[in-house]
Amino acid sequence: MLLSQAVEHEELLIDSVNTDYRHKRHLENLSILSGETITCLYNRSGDVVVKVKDGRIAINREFARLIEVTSLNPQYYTESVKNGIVKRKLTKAAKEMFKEEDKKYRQEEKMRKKELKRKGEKR
Amino acid sequence: MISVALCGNPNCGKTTLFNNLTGSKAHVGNWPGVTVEKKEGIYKRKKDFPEEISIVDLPGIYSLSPYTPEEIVSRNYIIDSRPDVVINIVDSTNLSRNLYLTSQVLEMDVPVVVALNFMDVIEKRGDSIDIKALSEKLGVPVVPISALKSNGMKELMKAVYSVAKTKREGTLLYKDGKIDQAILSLSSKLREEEIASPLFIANKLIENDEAVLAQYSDYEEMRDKILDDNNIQDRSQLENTITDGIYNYIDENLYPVYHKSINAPKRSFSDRVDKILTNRFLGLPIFALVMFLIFCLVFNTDFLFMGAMGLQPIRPFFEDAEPGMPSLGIVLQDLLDWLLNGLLLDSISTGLASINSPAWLTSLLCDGILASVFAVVTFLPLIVLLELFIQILENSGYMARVAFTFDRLLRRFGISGKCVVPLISCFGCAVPGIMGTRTIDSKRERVLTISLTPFFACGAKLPIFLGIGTSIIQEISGGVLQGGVVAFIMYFVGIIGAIIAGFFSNEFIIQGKSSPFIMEFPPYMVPQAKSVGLAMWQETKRFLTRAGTIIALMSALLWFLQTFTWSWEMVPMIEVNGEEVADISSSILASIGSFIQPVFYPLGFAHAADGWKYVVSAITGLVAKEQVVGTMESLNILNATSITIPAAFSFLIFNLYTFPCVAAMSAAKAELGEKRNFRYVMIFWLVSSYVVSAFAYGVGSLSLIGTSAFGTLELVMSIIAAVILVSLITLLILNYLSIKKKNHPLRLIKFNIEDKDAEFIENIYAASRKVTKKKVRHSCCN
Repeated sequence: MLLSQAVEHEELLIDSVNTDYRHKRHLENLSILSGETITCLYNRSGDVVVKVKDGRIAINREFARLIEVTSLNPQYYTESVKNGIVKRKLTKAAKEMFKEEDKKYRQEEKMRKKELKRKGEKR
Repeated sequence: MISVALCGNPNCGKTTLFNNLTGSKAHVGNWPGVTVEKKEGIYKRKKDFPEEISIVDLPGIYSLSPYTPEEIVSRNYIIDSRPDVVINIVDSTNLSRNLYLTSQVLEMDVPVVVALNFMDVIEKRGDSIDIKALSEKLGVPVVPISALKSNGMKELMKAVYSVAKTKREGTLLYKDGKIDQAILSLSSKLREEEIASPLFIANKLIENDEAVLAQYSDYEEMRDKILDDNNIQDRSQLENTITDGIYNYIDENLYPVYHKSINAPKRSFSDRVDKILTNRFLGLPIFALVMFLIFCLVFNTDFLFMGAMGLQPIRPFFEDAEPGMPSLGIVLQDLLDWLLNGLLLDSISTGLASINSPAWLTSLLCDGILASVFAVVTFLPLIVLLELFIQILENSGYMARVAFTFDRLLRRFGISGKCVVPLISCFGCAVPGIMGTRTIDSKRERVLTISLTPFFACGAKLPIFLGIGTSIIQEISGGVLQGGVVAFIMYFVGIIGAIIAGFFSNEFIIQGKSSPFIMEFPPYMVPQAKSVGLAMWQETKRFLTRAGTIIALMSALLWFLQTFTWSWEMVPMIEVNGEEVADISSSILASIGSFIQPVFYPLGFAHAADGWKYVVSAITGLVAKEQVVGTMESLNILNATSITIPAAFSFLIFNLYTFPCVAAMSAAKAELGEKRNFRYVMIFWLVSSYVVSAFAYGVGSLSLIGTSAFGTLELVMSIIAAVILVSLITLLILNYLSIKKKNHPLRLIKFNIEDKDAEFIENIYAASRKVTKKKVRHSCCN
């Protein structure tokens, strides 16, 4: 699979980076090299924003097509064919799962902030 | 004296730390041979240590392999200039990636101190880092700091001082068994040959790094022999293996020092916001809204158009309360105006009269210098406010998302999203905008971007818009076209003009494909009041120095030229409306101006009897754009007597699109490198300003049909405007047909920019096209 075909929230394992030497080094310095796992945050018709080790990197369509990846959680995604074009989408179940995760995280954040406030008041 | 170098990834807080340590009294220059900024300063607390500590800010880099100019500069500085200490600034929120650079810095023969920045963010998250463990594993002192809150500065400098006198040999963080042995043995051999930082060089030689091989080709045999001795077979993949190995080492041994309080969320706050801001449909309108709000807050004379809606708050400091509340900028400007032009000027003129000073001195000081300088200085609050908002936008990290959102659109115009960021900083001042085009790799795009910089009206052009808007256009139109609205229209015209000019340049003159980009999104940050305040203060200083020096001198010169005739006598006084006014039409300036005047006839503002005054004002804009208003004030044309609305707009457009001030032109010359490109850009500016002004006057004079102002000139200009429009449309049609038939666009003017990147960009496009042809057509690959 190509990086430009990744969908939101998908975790990917990089197989190979087939750009020229200069940009390969540039991507390596940003820790995008074969064997690393990255998460796709956003895909806008080929341009992707990718989360790599706490950092966010935007990669253009042309470069994204030259990076080969495999999906680490294909069970969340479905492919549908429309007019000869293949579209990859999140399944409904997966969407709900992610929403719930988001909610949980926000609740935990609130609890933690309350605790910190309490600690601050005690002092 | 102890020399210290600051080294780290881009966006990791190096500049903030540098400002903290040196008190922002830095000397900014360029590294020799490269257009990369060099910042040097001295540690401000000189009493803490017996010796002076000088600090050099190295440019932000991701690794020390010598490919980009920044990497070359940093590497050469550490190896050749041999600073006493290198402070490696690490962004603690992105530890793994930052430690990659650390691993390379540690290979060098220099004492290192690691500064963990952004500790305040870590604390907020509730995470913690085991500093002792990290320090042991790296073998160098590790100091937690927060550059934003100025925490840990003293501890950092103490560590630096304690390490400064020691010697340190490079250490390797990569442990594999075979390859690291090879690297270590090669390094010891290189050390015998007295090569600086042998471990780093040995590592790069074994990785088969092209640039290092070219420099140290003598040692290739030695390297091959050592690789044979260690039985290392697969030599082509060594670089990948070593990089992978370093990352694995970091992940296994170093990253665990970072203790997270809760499980890492899949999408943090920044990511959720990003999704909205870079959205296909919402991204652009949001950006347009943000820019509109900024302009409203700065110079709208009718804040949020409340007056137009019928609300009538009172405008302070004035007798004639106009409807609508002015924005903060206008309020401050009016205050300053009252202070300077009202109080100060009056008191100076009465004071001079009371001591019986000669008439020419009063005239020189009050009417010549002070009048125009004050006219310009009243715009200071507006310019500073604008700079404030632009700094907030840049520092918060929003600009990177804007670049990403605009990228797709800008492909049509031959530039990439990266070019948007310098152009937006042009709204404050063109000079940092032009210097910001350094980040653009492709020469072709850089030329295109620089040629578009005047279209994004710089802060100094705001006085021109508002001055002419309120004094002339608002008066003539009887309050229909407010000054603030005129300024807004001009900004809009600038952007539209940039789009059209960019399209034109890309299709017909400089042809080529836009370069693809890889860009990092920094996390959103609330801009620090200190750094924004500093930028505003620097802008104020720059503006006031300009006003005090260049504008004052120019005003004095102009006063001289307009008060004296060729026979060195003062111009005669004549009666105008019962007052005695100097008759400028016989002065030196008038004759020079009238000589040049015919050139500007087609543009509409030069054909009246005193049309030369506008010509002279426009030309003085070359020195500093603020000067235009000053000149207009001293030549007494900042009122609605001798010009029509279309001519006023044409004048505004001419000043907008034409050459920027001398400072910006010299910055452009420095950035463009080749004289040929600079000449192209200058001709582009001249031609585009002339043609568009003429076109605007032609279109505008259609509105004068039926009034007395519509004469032969207006008729001719309307016809010419129609001709220009028709020829543009035919050009577009021909271009479209040419693309369809011959598959390449029409070439009007042959101007090639020799770009070694052009070939490689074509290759990337070809490679990515090949890939999509193989696989099934996916929705993204079109």
